[in-house]
Amino acid sequence: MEEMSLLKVERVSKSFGGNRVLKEVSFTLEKGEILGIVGPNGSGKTTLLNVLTGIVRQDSGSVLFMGRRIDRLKPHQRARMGMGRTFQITRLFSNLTVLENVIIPMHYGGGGADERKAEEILKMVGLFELKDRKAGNLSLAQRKRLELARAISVEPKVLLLDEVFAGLNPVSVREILELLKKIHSETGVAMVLVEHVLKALFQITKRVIVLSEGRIIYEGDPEGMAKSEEVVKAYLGERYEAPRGQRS
Amino acid sequence: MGKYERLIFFLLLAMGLLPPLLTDYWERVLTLSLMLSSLSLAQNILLGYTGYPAFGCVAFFGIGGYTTALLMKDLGLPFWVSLPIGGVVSALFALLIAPPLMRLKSHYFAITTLALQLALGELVANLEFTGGAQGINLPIYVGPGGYLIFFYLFLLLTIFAFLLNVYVERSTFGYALKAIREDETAAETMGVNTVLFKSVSFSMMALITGLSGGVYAYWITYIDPTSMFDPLLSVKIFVALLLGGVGTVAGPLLGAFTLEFLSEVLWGRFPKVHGVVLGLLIVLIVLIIPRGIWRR
Repeated sequence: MEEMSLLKVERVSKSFGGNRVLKEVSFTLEKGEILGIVGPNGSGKTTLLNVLTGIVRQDSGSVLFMGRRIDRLKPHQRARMGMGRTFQITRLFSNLTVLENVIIPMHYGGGGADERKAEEILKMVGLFELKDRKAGNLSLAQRKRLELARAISVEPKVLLLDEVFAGLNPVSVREILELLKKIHSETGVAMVLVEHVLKALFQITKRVIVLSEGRIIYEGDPEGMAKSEEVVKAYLGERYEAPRGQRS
Repeated sequence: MGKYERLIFFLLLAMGLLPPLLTDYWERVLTLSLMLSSLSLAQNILLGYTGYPAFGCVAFFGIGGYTTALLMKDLGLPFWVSLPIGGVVSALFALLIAPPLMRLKSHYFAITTLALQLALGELVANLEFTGGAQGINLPIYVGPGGYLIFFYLFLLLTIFAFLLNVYVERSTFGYALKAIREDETAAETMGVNTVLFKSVSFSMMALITGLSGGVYAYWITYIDPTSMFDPLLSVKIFVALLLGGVGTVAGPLLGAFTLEFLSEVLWGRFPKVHGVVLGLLIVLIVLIIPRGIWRR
């Protein structure tokens, strides 16, 4: 018997008014796999994540998680099933402490609040020393780390990461990359990374999906991506040949 | 309970010993202060911890007050039975309207609750069984303790509301509310059932506010739509809360007592510009102590 995919997205479409943001998007994610989703701005990447986590409901198509249709489940129910996510613009509980930021998802989305375990997670992401500081006072790199800590605290089966490298300097990018590798090797969690920083992305994933105007235009390994004519067109536009006689 | 919370709790208990030392005037001022305290503490659960400003919370004051009064007058139920029913009706009504109402946020939510308050006021003024614009007369309380009973009722209600606030401040239940206040979308994706927790928080506010309205109705023995759905009372609750410090357990108490005492002094000395001074006060609070006297 064929083994069940962890996440299966089937012909998902979504419009906002007359703007079709996702057009029949289908893909699967296997247990423990790391998948990259890339695409120009406005191609529907974040909307796709929002559909997966239930913040936005698709117009048609279905999402299966561990073989179960989750279309009608609310975001908090999906979180409890094992979906952890981070946001492009960090959404921390700014007036609460770093530790509290991890305790809350543990209690409501995970196996129960456990201060020792929360501290271990903070040690893993390198924020243990700052555990009593208010989350609003952290730097961007620290905020991204805390978002990661919060997402893994629910012991997810899949981590959905929305531009986790965005806005970081090269050193921080490398550090977060190492952290992701560590999380993956220690927990075996599957990951979906929506990303613009391709250099970092290609170091961690073997399979990418390219979205353009809500459609999947490429699916495969990172090497093939740069060679795909469709992808080049989506990023750089049509090939332009100047008419004869005008060439210099 | 922490050190401060225990201190405030004992101070509140100690207030119960005050009445023999008080003149009728000060007894009334303290009773009013306690009423405002209970209302501010109720609103604090919603605004301070959950981040939803129910500017029309007095709607529930009216529902509680009218339910209590109607049960006493039409069904002949004793006050001690009518009052809790009034509180429960108010809380249930809140639970019912919360899921659609709380899709709105910040000022949209605030204005919609205010509209609810005004609409309910109009409705009550135009219905027959509520006594219309003429209101309802209630029997005067003649049991043991005389009118002091209302001082103690508001004191009890304030202590109850205070303990609820302490619970919210320190429990995992409170964590869910705070998470909603900080970022609702994030809270939802972290596993918090936001609709449920928002509704419960809203209904906790409505319970205390409704009970407060019930006690008030019996205290003044005559209620009408203008007094029970008074927008000025909403303003007062919010000023007390902002003055004291939103999202703290001590702030609402501090704010309510300061405001009520200040209000009495101003009312006595400058009856004509009382409203102006109150308005100036709001401006000054926002400019000088935007987070209130008791800072978070």
